[in-house]
Amino acid sequence: MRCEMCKKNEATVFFQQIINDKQTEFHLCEECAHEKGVLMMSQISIANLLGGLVEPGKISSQEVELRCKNCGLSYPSFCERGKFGCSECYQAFSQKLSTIFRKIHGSTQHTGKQPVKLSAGSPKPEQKEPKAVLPSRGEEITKLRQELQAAIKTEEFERAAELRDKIKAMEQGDGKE
Amino acid sequence: MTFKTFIENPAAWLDGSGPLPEIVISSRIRLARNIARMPFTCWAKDEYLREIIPQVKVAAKNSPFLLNFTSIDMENADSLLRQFLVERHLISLEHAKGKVGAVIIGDKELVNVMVNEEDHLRIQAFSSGLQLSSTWNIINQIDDKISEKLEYAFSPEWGYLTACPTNVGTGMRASVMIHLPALNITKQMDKILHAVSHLGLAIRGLHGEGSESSGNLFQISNQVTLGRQEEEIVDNVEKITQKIIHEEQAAREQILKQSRTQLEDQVFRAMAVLCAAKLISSQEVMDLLSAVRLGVGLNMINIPVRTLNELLIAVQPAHIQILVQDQQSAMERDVVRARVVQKKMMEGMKNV
Repeated sequence: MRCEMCKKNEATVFFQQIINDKQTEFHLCEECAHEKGVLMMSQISIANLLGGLVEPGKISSQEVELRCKNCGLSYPSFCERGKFGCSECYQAFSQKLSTIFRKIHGSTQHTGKQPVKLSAGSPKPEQKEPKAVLPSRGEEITKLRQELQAAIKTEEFERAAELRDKIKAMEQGDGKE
Repeated sequence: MTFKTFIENPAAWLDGSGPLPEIVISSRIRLARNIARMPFTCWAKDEYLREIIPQVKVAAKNSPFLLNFTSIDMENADSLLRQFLVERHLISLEHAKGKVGAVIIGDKELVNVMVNEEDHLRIQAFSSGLQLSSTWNIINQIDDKISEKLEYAFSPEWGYLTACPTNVGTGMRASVMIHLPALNITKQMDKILHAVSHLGLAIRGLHGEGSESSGNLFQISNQVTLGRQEEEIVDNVEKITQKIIHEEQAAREQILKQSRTQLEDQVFRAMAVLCAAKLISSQEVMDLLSAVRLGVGLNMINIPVRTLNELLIAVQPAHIQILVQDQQSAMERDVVRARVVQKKMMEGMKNV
């Protein structure tokens, strides 16, 4: 396994970080671990390690095709730089984000404040319409079901529970519409 | 606003009026916000970035604490001014490298907005001492007012959408600037660093990400921004800071017990050098200020915390550079710095 920082040397140092009881694992080479001092890990920006969260070699051909229709950023390019191109990238890469967010934050759901409504008379930017072409809800649910089966198979029960809730919510959403 | 006005009016959060001022210099909260559908700063064309600045200014005019703001356009800011703003914590190291951007500065430098940093808006609020929850109340109001005029990039599922996935959700970084000399001297910082990283917090140098610590000053901040409410994050940073303060105080007691005389000697020598030196580097001032601050915390010496805080900023390289006549001479900088320090120390001692 290659070091997740320099991506050159063999990873020999294994490091675990626990946030919100969720465990994140890093594999580093001795040089990189020594350079920062493993105890100084908290000083390494997580963005630099994002490349390690999503190994470029592991991106499937289907993921290579993912691209934000608003700004044109591709998924592989997002993985490499660790930065989104615009707010619509979140929609475009939505199916990949839970894994990334869970690794960084130990959570996938915002629970904080919301913006207040734009006041009347304020210059409102163009109509909010997702410019990205997204899979239909049906396609998405089918995909989630497949992911759920996979999660159960690999005994990732927390993930499975999350997927189950998501499918349920989507199906209910369907009914309402 | 000119350099002179800035220098003559130190930021209000340095005034030492908050809780535990000799240990916690300041509390700061920043919120990362972006304009919906607009490409994020690092990908956007300059012309788009230029459009954002007036939009943010209009929104800022709508907000409390920013009504009579001063703004500085980064395209007109030379490297000296940029460094000067970094030293005052008005812009980040990253923002100082940017091309098209601005900083909007509120009254007494308590609130400011960086435009086109990594995110379109980075709203910041500062207060003296350990008071993150009141700082949150202030920045929350500002954020609400700005969002009445600007459509933020937001999703109910992921919260505020930011350029970097490490900020998504609340987009909030709550931090305290803290003085931990005893933990540093007794080599316990590694232990603390290790412990806080398990709690979703980080400890960094004075200017945040990628900066060195100096004068035993550290910045403690939250790392997790998604899945927690703002109040929870604030409360968490505040509680852990209190625990660290407790550890620091215990380490101070231990040093006092073992080597009171040596410590007193260091504190009074530091005081003497600050008051009498004719040539002094910024690093030396930082180290001596740390010793004097420790002396104040242990009631060995009486000088206002405000004086020590203001000196932390006033002796930084860009702050001294603009007072120097001969721009080339490194020695003249040290001469001017020694004079600045002496003047402030004398004023401080008069006000005890």
